Amino acid sequence: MLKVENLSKAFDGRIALEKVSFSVQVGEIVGIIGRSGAGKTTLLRCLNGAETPDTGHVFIEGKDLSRFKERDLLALRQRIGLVFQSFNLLQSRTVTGNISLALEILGIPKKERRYRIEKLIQLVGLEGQETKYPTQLSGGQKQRVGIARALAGNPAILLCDEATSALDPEATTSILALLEEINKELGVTIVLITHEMDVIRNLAHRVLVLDQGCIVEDISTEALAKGQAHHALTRSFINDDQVNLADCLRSFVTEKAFSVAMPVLRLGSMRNELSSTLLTDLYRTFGITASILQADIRGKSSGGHDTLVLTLSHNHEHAIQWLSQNVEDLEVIGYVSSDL
Amino acid sequence: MCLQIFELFCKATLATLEMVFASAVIAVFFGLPLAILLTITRPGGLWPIRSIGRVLGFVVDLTRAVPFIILLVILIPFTRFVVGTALGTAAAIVPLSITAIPYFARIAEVSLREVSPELIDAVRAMGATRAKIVRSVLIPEALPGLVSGLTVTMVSLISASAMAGVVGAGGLGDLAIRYGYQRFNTAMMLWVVSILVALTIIVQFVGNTVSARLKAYNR
Repeated sequence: MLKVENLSKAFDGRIALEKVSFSVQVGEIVGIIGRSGAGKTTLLRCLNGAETPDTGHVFIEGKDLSRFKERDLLALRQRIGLVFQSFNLLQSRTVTGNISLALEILGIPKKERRYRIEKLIQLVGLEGQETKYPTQLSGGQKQRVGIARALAGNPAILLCDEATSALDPEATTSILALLEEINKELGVTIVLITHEMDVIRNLAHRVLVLDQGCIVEDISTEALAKGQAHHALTRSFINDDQVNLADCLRSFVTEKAFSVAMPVLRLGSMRNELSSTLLTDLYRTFGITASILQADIRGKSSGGHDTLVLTLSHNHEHAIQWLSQNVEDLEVIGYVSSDL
Repeated sequence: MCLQIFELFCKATLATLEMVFASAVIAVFFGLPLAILLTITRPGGLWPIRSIGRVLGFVVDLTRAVPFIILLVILIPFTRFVVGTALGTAAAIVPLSITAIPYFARIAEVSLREVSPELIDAVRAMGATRAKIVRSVLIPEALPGLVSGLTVTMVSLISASAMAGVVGAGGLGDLAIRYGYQRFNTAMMLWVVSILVALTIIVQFVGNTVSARLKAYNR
């Protein structure tokens, strides 16, 4: 579907991408994550042919993008649907008009355009908003228009550039759900470029971590959830959206265990909710009481991803082991004195 | 006011309107493409050929720098070539258009430049040709600003047309000079001024209304 081989690109001697290689299968959802300046934007621009790579190739459905001249490139670009962070909708056109633009570019006759716009509006759930202008829409609705427009040409790949970064959490969740639905129903391959691990965790099948122009990790989200990430950067992305210990607590926590220490644990779940009977079970089985220091329970609606920070009344090795078997993610943050 | 003088006023007002509207139409016809060229040939633009932009920019600024009263005289041979005569209302339209074209082009350029480059990039990435982008993105998105620019241009044209009396073009300015200034008829002069003020207010009002209507959705 999409194959990138040894892609390198430098601007005025500053390397933006260095020997990037990866491939995306048909129907796959792949996330590309990186800090700002990691080369995400350059990679995206190379993928849609807006930027010519210095060396290396981009293959879309087996066709080498770098071999095409401007005119033929237009046709190939139409195989890629783009979704933008800032929506990039025409302010002067309505919802219908904005979707129509993409079809006009493809040279589709007016009659068929009307039919296809109707279908696309249904697909993205914008019924009743057809005659509204972008300023009359919420961020989430604008992005739905953006997605409908991107899908107008029946693209093989949907390239999402920080598509949810400008949205509030609720709109983000609904847009991600829409993308998942599109992937399942239409079989469209999706490449997400983002700096938010949450987006990838919720949607992607696989994640590529980009750092200083190189891909430092290529891992399935399943393996990621099991904590099998190798690279420090990947782990730091995971920690980014975990609950960090409040400052007032942190000063009491030491890294080394001592005789009367109580362990401080962080329990996390990536996909499922934490079991509600976890703490009762802990007490029944080991006679250990746990006190909750901090919690961030988001529930199923946001794809699980609960986090709990606890201290245990005793430093009981078996209990910690038992816990680690019952939650997806467990980390011993440190220890606090029991006379705290 | 006797009937004859009233007729004189009607004729003069019509002549002024004729000059203003004809020049405005010509200004848009040539000025808009010029503004588009000035915009898209900028570095990082849709068609970044700097040399074209520079030459056009130079010509535009040159024309803008010449005072209208001088342009009126310099252009006499050209006017004679185009219209066949250098005198009268039709003849005045030529120099008026020649000042209005670069004037409108510069104002229109500002509005066109305000269209988000990111949006243009996005539509380009969707596979649109340059012509399609100019037609469907650049002009519609800049339309409220273009209408405002046209309004400003027309108001300037109203005041410039008053000078066209120099080439015997008639119009309100001519009336004010011949009757008001040369014959010391102050009442006549004040009448002319009031009509000019009224015309300006009407043009500005209509322009503002149209622009605001267009803008209502846009921002």
